Amino acid sequence: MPDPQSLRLLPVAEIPEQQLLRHQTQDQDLLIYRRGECFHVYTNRCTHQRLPLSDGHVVDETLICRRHGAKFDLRSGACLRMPATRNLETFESFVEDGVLYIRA
Amino acid sequence: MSAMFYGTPSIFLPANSLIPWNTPAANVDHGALGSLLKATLAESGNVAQHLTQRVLAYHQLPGLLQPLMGLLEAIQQTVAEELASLDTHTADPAILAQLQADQPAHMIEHYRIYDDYFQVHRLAQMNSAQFVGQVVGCARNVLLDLPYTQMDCHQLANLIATLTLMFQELTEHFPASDDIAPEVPLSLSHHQVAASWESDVDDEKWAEQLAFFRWRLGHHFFNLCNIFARDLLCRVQAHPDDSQAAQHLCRAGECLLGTSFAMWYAGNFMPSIYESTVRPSMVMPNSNSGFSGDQNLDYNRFKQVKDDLLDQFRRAATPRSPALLAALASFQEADLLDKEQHLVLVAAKVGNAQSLSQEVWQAELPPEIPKLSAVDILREMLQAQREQLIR
Repeated sequence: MPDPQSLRLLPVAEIPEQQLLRHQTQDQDLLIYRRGECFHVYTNRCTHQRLPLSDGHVVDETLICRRHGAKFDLRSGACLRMPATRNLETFESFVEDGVLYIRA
Repeated sequence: MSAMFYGTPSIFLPANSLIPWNTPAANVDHGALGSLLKATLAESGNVAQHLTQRVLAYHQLPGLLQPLMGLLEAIQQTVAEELASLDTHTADPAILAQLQADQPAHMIEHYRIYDDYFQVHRLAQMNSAQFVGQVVGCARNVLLDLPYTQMDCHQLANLIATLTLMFQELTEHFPASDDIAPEVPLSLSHHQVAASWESDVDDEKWAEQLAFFRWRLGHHFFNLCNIFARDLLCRVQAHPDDSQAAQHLCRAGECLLGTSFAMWYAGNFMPSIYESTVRPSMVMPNSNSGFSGDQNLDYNRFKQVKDDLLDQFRRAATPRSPALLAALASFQEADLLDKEQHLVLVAAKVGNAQSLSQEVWQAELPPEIPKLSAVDILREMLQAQREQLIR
């Protein structure tokens, strides 16, 4: 049973491999990226102009914002290229009983 | 004759983008400087009011600006000794340390290239009088050229209003003494600037020189707007419940809007010159990629504080005062207006083309992905920003 501070997202079976998945909760707009059994969860917002990243492009384990070309490492959220100057906001995630959770 | 005025403007700015309010100058009578700033504020306000309330023919503009020019010149004389010491400035390793303190490694070289191009010299240490000297020097050059631009009355009035706001801020930090500042003769008048137009106006090189002058000087003004806006936002961020927070936020919005008018000034030349000369000059060394406004250090620092402050407002558990909420609405409106102005400005210069930097990074994408133009993206940003307004 996950701790009460955790937020249930969705069953892992519904998360496609190596694609960007937008997931909106009551309070948050999230971006999920799955590689095998590894899940990365970010705030769905480019740190450059605060616009959604879910319509960005995945190229070689990096995420490129479709508007200004800011590039982020999909495994860590690290900002790799201008015009962004800050890393993506990341969430610690875990899977329990086939469901993906993040720690709030 | 053009070399007398329309040369290559440069500016000294703090490497940390912070106004050095608490670093007084040793060789300046601060009371006298305060008196001059107070008089300048009043005169700048008069000009702004005149431009908003009366009909003005362009040939009357030099006369209207003359008293203000005299005051700016007097300030420059007051801080001359401090400014002279900047001429001996050499590269300081402390500058790099100040950049690395709050900026990511991948941006440092971009900032250097951008500053070099726009002739922005960074200083690790700067005193308040030296900073005043930069504001005044930039203002004086813009005002000397203003009557020869083709800016409309709305743009002129807003440009002067932004300067007035800067003098308001400076005045509040330099208490005036009772001394009456002596009048000083102008070292360069509008009459002399006009001579450039009479002697060189048919020369193609002169047109390019003029374009580069405005392009650089307008960006200096843009940077100053960002520095003042950031200073104001930092004060709101530190003390959001302070009784003056609402006023600071409103002023920050006005400075932000001032950046638009700085850019209207910067781009006040023919689109054909932008296309043939200015745009190609912004291709980065050893790269086929172009500069972007995102390489502007002062703008980025302003934007970082703005994003943090808006997040702070979004997350605030306690309700804000009606005055602060009204100021927040005003600031967000200024932010939207700034982007709207920027969109029109970009469309006027590059039409529906991609920006220099877009051309490079979009080439990385798979070919089936449609390429967006600079204007397409600005429209999306505007729409998204409207949806994110804090109410």
